[in-house]
Amino acid sequence: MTDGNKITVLNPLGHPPPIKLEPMAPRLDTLDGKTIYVVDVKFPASKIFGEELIKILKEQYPDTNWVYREKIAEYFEDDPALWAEIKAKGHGMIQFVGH
Amino acid sequence: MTVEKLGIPTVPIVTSTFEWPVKNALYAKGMANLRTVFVPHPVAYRPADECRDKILGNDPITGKQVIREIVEALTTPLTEDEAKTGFIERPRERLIGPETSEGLQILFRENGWTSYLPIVLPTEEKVAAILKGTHRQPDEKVGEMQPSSPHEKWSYNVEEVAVNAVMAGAKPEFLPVILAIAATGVTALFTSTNSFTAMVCVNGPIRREINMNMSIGTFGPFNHANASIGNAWSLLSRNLGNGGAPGKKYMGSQGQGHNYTNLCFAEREERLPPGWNPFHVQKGYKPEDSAVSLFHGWSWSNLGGFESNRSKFIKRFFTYQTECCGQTMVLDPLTADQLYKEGFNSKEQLNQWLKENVMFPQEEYWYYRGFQSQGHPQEFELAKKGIEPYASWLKLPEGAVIPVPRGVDVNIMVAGGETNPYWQGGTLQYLASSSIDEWR
Amino acid sequence: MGKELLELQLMNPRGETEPPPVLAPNLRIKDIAGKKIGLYSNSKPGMDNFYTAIDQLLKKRYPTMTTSVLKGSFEIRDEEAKAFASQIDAFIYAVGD
Repeated sequence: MTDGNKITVLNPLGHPPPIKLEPMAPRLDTLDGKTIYVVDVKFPASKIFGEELIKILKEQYPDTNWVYREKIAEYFEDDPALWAEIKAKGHGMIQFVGH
Repeated sequence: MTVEKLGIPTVPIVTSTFEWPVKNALYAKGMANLRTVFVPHPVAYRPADECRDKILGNDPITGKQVIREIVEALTTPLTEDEAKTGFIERPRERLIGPETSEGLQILFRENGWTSYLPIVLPTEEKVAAILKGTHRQPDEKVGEMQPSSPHEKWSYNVEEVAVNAVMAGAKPEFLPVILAIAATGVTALFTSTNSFTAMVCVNGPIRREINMNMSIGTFGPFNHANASIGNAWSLLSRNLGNGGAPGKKYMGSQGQGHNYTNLCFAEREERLPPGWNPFHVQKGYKPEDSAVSLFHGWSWSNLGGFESNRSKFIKRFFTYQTECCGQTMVLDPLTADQLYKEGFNSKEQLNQWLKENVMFPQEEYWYYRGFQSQGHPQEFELAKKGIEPYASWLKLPEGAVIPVPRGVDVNIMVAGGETNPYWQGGTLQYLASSSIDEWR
Repeated sequence: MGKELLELQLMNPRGETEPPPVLAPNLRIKDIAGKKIGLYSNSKPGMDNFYTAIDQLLKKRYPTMTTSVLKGSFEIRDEEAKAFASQIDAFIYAVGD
């Protein structure tokens, strides 16, 4: 037996907050002569990937100053001191990787 | 994103399995266009030559060569979209329909708003009826929830919790328990690839008032309150807590069957041995208070047999449990009696004994996340130098136990029907407790 | 807006069951003295101790009584029960954990 009657129900969803659009930073005109940080976020067992990454970057872009850094503590923790260092001394950042 | 907002161009490299969770999180944080480069999954624990191949190869999402894509991400000028500012509002309609009952069941299911079982449709009448279970106003904010930290938090009010409670088949008298759970902001559907089990323990007079099961079949499909409260937690985690979307906000590789109704039970306080306090009292509540306590973690086991109720077996069980996330056990009253006869005059005493006597298996002491020496790095250096006892410990075979206590607290509760002295336990960590009485 | 009360007829979700047979117990023996009492052990842990205790207590009260213990699987098989029944006057079957 089908029920042809129509009903109205309440929406089960919560309230997503409004999204504030964040503009990206201006890009570099070249990597030559620039200091680019390569940051390991410290997800377990990703170190080997990072070591290969920076090797390849140095091989292929020798005129760029590639700086390897590990973020502090666990992968879900913030590292304001590192970000401040990158802001002061760097021109760009590559961050890897997880899983 | 933090560094990007400091004016420094960045490029995150992520493994391809996480394409949608990353894109979802970036959209919600207002930088949907952040130039992310993907490499084939997985990367963790992979050898150097495989990692190298992945870096020199192509992004599996875009098809572009990874190194070139990284460089382009840092150097190609921004598009108009990438430089945009402003807000995206996401209003929500309060009502859905009109539609037939069958049509609404299909709609809810296909939108991912259910556990893929039929629901009680949340009509205005049904929601108004269940709201009689609380004195709080429908538009009063209850809390905020996210499936894990990269994802945005959604907020919700009393009425919206009531909608999900109706869907779960709850009665008005169950609503204060469900509101207390919602107020903690703890999700039952944690994002992790580890398929977390979630558990909720109810303490206090409300257990009897709403006829919860804490006897035979405590954790099984045998009680309306246990089932619908546990089910409501999963539904609200999905619908109010921005969770439960596989591949985007839920990444549990195999999923967790417990999440249909979670491990929802009441502690059988009346059968605690003398000196053993109810769990909520251990957390600072008065015995006459009603409260919920929430837990989650990697594993949960059912320990049967005729010797598992001895403290030495319990110690052995926790010795070989994994490193995440905590230690919890729910004892049948007969097992609690057995342990009381062994001399454990309180839960605290049993916890302290386990804390001092649950040791490390050899391989876990030394290894951490697959790497030897990262378990106890300073001790590893001493072992390599031949310093005792570390040097001898390093030579022990796999399976041997290092006499170093893990020092992890064990959460202990009692429930069950005394058909045998069994228990259930695993690596669940305690997350939060919340007053039910505030929501009556 | 007026609401209609809708009545539904549903299908029974329960399975079909045959009514169980009704069996009468056998006639009781008048006295345990001089009788042979059969004890069936389903080999669950603790059963031996339990029957040892029963045996000792019964023999204390009824010194001319004898016992015969049959150890078997979880449920006594029909042919075992028939053979055992031919050797004894009464039967004790213990259940539990």
